[in-house]
Amino acid sequence: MMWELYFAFLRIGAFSIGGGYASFPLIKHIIVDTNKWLSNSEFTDILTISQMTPGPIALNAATFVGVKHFGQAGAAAATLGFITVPLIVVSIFTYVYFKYNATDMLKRIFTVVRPAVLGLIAAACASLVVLAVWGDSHTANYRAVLLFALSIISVWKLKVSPIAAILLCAVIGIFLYK
Amino acid sequence: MRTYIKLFLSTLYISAFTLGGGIAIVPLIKRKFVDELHYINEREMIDFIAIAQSSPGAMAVNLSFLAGYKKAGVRGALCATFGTVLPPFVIISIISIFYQSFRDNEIVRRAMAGAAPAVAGVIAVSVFDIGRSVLGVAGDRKLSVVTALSAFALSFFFSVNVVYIILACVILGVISAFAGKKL
Repeated sequence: MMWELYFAFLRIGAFSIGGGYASFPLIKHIIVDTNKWLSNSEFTDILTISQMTPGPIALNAATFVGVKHFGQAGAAAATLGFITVPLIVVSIFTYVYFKYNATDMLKRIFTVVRPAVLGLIAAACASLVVLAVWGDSHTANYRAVLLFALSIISVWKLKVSPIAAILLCAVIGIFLYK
Repeated sequence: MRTYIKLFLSTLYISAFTLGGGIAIVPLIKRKFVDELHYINEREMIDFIAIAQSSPGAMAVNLSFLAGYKKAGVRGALCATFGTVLPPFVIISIISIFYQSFRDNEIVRRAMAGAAPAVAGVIAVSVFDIGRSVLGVAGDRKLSVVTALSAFALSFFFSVNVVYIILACVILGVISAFAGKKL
């Protein structure tokens, strides 16, 4: 049974490509529909909790499912399962990158890739801004705009660490939001 | 040995405070590994983000592995990865005991509502930093701006999977390398 858990998360890890949210349907399919390790409402709960706790969603789900059925050992098995394939793939990419990064070919490739990465980070940022400021409603949430501006000023101008800025806004949020 | 411990503790600290998942780790990695420890430079970080996004799995795990490898080889990579994996493991193990009351906790909900725009703001600062270093280098700046805007539009407006966007850039890079040789 522990192996089933390991291989289930190995599959999830292997096919989660392109960011956390893209892998939701796959995680749900394997965890809820196929293996029935979580009910639908438990799955929704773990997504909610993932947004309230640090760390990648898939790893949070792995620990949650593992602990529920097999205790700490299960959580470890699921976590190891999830990272197995990604670490193999990243190792191969790492090897290629450090072996060939002085070559003309790789330099050319990354000259094109780097600005794209900039665009992709900006896109992720824009999505988060839209979600935080507008959410599901049509009117902008002024509190979110305020905290957004505050975090930018504190990190950019006042050189506060990103973690300190986020924690500060979380504390302000406790008093600001209802 | 000190480097391994340093790597482990650094990613442990980053992972324990990475709210929001995915790209949210970028500003924290930049602050710790680029600005504070100087384990990697900004250009390498951008390259690592591209590799981490092109690989399956979680951005945080992949990025830590790469940064750890750059600093201290395979063992460094494993220490950094272990540091990243541990906080969600411990935190969820504990919360799973009382997850229903945690989920419905009003204080936690409000704190997260406050943290969400801050995560976006902190990433926005990284966008400016990375923009300055990517678009500031000598070379074809116009082409870089067009590439960045195209990637932004494809991802934000059309929800194209990140992997396809990076793959397209790799193909363009290969073509430009061959074209460059012939010219």
